[in-house]
Amino acid sequence: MPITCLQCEDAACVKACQYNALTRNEKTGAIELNEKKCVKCSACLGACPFGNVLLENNSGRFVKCDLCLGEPMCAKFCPSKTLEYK
Amino acid sequence: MVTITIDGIEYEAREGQTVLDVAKENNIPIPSLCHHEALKPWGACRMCVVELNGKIMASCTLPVAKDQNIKTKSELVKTVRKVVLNLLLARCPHSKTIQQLARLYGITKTTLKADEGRDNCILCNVCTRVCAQLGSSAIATVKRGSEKEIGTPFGEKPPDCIGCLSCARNCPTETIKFEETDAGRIIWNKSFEMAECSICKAKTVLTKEQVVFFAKKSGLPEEYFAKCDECARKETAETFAQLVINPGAHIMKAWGFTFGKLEAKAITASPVLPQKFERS
Amino acid sequence: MDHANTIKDIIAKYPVQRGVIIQILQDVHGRYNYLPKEALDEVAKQLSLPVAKVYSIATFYKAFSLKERGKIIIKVCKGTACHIRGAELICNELENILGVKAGGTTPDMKYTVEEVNCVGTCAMAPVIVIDDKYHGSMKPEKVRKLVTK
Repeated sequence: MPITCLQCEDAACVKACQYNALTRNEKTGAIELNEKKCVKCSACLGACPFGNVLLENNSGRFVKCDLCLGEPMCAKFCPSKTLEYK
Repeated sequence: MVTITIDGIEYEAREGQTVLDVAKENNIPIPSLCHHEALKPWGACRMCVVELNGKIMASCTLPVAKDQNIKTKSELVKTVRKVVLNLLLARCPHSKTIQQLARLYGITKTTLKADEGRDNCILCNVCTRVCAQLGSSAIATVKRGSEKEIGTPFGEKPPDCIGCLSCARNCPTETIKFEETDAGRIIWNKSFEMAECSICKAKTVLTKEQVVFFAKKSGLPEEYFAKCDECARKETAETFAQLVINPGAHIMKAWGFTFGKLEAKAITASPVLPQKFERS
Repeated sequence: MDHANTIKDIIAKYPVQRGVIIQILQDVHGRYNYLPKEALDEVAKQLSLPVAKVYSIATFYKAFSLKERGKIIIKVCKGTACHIRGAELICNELENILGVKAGGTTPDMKYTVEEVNCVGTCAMAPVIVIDDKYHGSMKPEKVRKLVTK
């Protein structure tokens, strides 16, 4: 079962970040990771109790679901429309 | 809001922004080495210089003001950047970052005597600032003048270092060396063991020191950090599965929340679910 | 040596504010004649500052020494005026007499030779300062008279 970011209201990742790199996008409600502000300290990755912040091994970037800025591609391209975004 | 002019085009800027901030927002290329958006401006590398009323200023520390007329491509700016690059290239002739930047300004070799015996550090202080902002301040500049370098207290293993690698990962010239294996890592001559996942006992991607430090800093329980991604996701999936099979009240209780409010005695996986979820 | 109490007393003399660290380090330096590692660790601990920061400050100023120094400190001015008027010769002569280069301490811990950049008495160049006493118009022979092993 694929699990993606729950966009917690009182998010652990946001609390852990000392650089204000994680902020909530008020429009989409998603917590977005500002890569320019990220220093790659791994605090958010460790903090997420659901394991939903990931370190991309190839690029060394930290990634998390940001709901594709309001238009999640997973839902858009789901062939059977099992995934829906409401 | 103030309006400033950069290279003849007017841009809207907010009070408190620097000229470099505005340029970055509007995709105006200004090279910089010591600038990092997570950190306060430092003004060390002098690469981001621009021209204001015939004077050269570092744009990263220049606050926007009404009717500023900034030039980023003038001959004066180019000359100054070339001088800076010539000096940087003399200091670290083998740095890929500096070489690439210098090539953009038509410099392939320094006209000065290249310093072969040095590492590629340009003393931009990104490493020490990142470390300080994290709250560990394990490294700092040592000595001064031509002997100035980034170092650890007494040249020994830094007692405050937590092995997060932020210093090395943000170094613009990739000078700070570290070794990494699945079991641990070595940086600044200090060895770190990776923390074990509390569930599957596999090594996590955080050092033991990071787990303790991050937990203390964020006020979150240590168990959050000492758990690998896979186990955390598995746990969440199981909880979700149970929610679907038997959406009874006892599950809600096991999750440690009542609708809309987190109970004080939160168990390991206890989210405050997003509003969307709560409404359903 | 009980660093903790010594340093506690020194810190107690100053207000709790940014910037007093240099005075504190000066006092510690005065107390031990150099800055011992343990003392710096203690200063950092008591001021709740990172050790790296304290070490950074201690290495920045030439007035601080991190190595144990001799009883008598000989400072050789190497400022422009002194340099032109033969500071190098003075340095060489001191090396001949004491057997230590600038920055070194004699094995019996009696003398430490330091190079300084200007002591502000260029009219008397070349100048050496022995235990805060200024000696101007130095010549190798005069050095020999002043400093006897």
